[in-house]
Parts: sequence; structure tokens; C-alpha cells
Amino acid sequence: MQQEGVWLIPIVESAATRQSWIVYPHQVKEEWVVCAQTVDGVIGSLPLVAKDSQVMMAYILNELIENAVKYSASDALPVRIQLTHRAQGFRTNITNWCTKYQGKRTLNWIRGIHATPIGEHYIKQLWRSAVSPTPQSKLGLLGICHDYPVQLNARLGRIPVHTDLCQITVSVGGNWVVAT
Amino acid sequence: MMPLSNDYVVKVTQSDVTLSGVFRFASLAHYDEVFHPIKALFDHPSPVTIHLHQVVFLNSTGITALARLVIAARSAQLTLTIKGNKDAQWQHKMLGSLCRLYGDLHIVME
Repeated sequence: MQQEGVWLIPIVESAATRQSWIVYPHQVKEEWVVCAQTVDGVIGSLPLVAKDSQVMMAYILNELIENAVKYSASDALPVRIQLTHRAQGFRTNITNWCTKYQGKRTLNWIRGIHATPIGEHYIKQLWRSAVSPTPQSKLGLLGICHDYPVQLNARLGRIPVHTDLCQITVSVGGNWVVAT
Repeated sequence: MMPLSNDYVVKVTQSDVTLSGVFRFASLAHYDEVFHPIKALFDHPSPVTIHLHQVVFLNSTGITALARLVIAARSAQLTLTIKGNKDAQWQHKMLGSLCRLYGDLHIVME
């Protein structure tokens, strides 16, 4: 058994509210609108926050849930969405089952995001995605870090020796957008 | 509470494109299909303006699809203007990035 990953976001202090949801990849793949409905449901649980914060949360949750669904090892294994929020900010954890290979790949991708200036990294990826015939944009996690002052991290759960699967939790935390 | 489920409109006239609503498609292929009438405008040499004022939400796949339109306009050496909503913070960031893909892209925030 081993644990791997980076986990820099401190536990949200008291006076925070934590809620969880479950969605199954097959539900989303059968009807993609389920992803949107899930995001809307999570955002609907928030206390009144500014419109820009709602858009930020929608973007972050949408990208994280899309990724979790796309890279889930099985359509029948749950994706867990956890949201902790307080007056100043939030933290969301999205956990899904993936292959060990995919889990390590995601960790490396996130390390790459942290290792290079985000502006340049984003533009290069945007250009690559725009000019190549690849069906994936690979902008989701990059866009979260590029567009919003948040922290992005991930960790792999305990890796059982008898299976090729593991759980990965991708976490994003930050403050609410201050209206300008 | 703003509704964020898929609900979008793409309106194309001779040289103007108006996008409105929420764009949350899962794949670039789906966006390519929805944006096809816009790309068809690039076959003619006239300038094109894309209005985004009423776009509430665009996922990262949608941003890539928009970037593909910008690259297509660049390849066609077309004058492309994108008008964004100055009150939508996310549009400022996104359009700033698109600008870096094509030096002659005109961005107007209003």
C-alpha cells in the first residue's frame, strides 16, 4: 500500500459547511446534461454568492466532473463530489476510480502545471489544441489555474496491491471572487 | 441563481455571429458541428464579428473550439472581431488569451 500526491490546501477551518454528492459516469455518458445538472445542484446548495463566484464554481466543478467521468476506470464506479464552503472561500474535492497509470499521469500533469508559468503554459496548450486534430482540449485543469486565483492539487488514495485501480482526488480551493 | 444547464443559441447572419446562453458540450466534435455555420463564413473575404455578450458559460472544450475559429480566421487572413461582455470577468481572461493566437484579432469589451 502506498500514498502518492501533493496535498497543500489546509483543512478548511470551523464554521465551514461540507456537503457531498455522488454521480456515476454511466449517468453522465448516457446524457451529458447530467453533468450540468449536477453542477447546478452543487451550486444551488451554496449560500448567496456573487454571480462571478457562481461562474467560477460552475467552471471548476464542470471541468473536474468532466475529467473524473472521462478518466474513470469504470462507468459503474462512483464519482464523489465534496464541497466545503465558508464565508471567504471554498474547497472542492472530486474523487474517482482510475487505473494506476491514469492516476499517475494526472498527478504528473498537475505537477507540470505547477512547474511552469501558467500564462505561457496555457497559451501553448491553447495553441496546440486549436491546431491539432486531437479530440481533447487538455485545457480543463490548466484553465482553472489560469483563470482563477485558486490552488489545484491531487492525490492518489491507498493503492491496493490486488487490483490495477486506485482512487484519485483532485482538489481545488480558493476564495470567492470579489465583485469589482 | 443563474441557470447553467445547456441552453444555447447560435445566430449567424451575413457577417455577424451572435452566441448566447450556456455552452457545455462534451467534445470538440460537437462544438465543430455547432460552430460549422460560423466557419463557413470564413470562405468569404468579408470581416466577421462574433458577439459573446450573452454567453453566460463556456467550458474549456468550448474555449478550444473558439480558438479553432480564431486560427481558421488567421489562416484565411480574415478580419475577425470578437465583442465581449465587459461585466463578465471570465470573458476578459479568455479573450485576452485568444488575442495571443492572432495578432489581428480585434477584441471589443462593451
